Amino acid sequence: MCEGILGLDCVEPEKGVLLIRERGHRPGEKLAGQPYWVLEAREVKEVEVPQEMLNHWGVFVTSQAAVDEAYEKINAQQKEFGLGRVQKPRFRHGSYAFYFVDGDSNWWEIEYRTPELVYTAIRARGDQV
Amino acid sequence: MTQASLVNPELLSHGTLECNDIPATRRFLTEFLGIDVVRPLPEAQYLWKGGPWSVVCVCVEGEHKEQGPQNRFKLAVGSVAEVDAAHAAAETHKDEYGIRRVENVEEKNGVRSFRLQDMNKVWWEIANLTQKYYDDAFARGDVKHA
Repeated sequence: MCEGILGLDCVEPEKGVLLIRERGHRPGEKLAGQPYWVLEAREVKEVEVPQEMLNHWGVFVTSQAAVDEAYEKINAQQKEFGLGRVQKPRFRHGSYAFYFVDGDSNWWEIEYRTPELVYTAIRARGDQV
Repeated sequence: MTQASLVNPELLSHGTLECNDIPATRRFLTEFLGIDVVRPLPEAQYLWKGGPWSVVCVCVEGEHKEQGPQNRFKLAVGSVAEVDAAHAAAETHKDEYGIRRVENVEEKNGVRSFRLQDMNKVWWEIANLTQKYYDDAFARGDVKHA
């Protein structure tokens, strides 16, 4: 799912553990040497705490059209990937995004933000409250 | 990963957590954990520690569901001494910052770490990890299954 749907870079360093990061950080690639964060997924017999929408992971795509394209593709292959709900894209807080739930109850957001709304720009403006 | 994926993301952008009290949570995040925080919206503050990604901390009313220690955020520090110092600080300042639980320090495969649960029941882990640790893991590739 993380590779086939989300295009993320995954490795299984030991049985039952999956490390996940965005693509492009391998030697010679465009993000090599830059910091990244890693999601660590651990295989369990039963997910003790099913996740909800307010506990999700997000990825940025490059345009509103890319959000729509991702929605069409994911919605079309919902059963093949064993996904739960795939919500329709909508505008929210100035971003354009949709959510879907994977087969383990993890929520994912596919999102486009205009340049003034990416996190680095928000940080530069400082507190607004 | 050479085959085409349905989505081509430019960034793994954010995670989320919930809180009940934005100012008190911010104090814990900045003063204790050393995380940078900005509040662009009345109902949310954004956390980061370098890099373009954020953790969006959403304020919710009432009791929210505890995520459990298996769903936690891990912070990397540069040495085992820093792990031990953070553990000692957590024990010393737990009441001041509303820290609910501080687990014992453990060491596995050269990584020393401990977990704590904050006032919002969110779990954090502090470990002596570097980006090279993960670079090496990705470079080694998948474990061979028997």
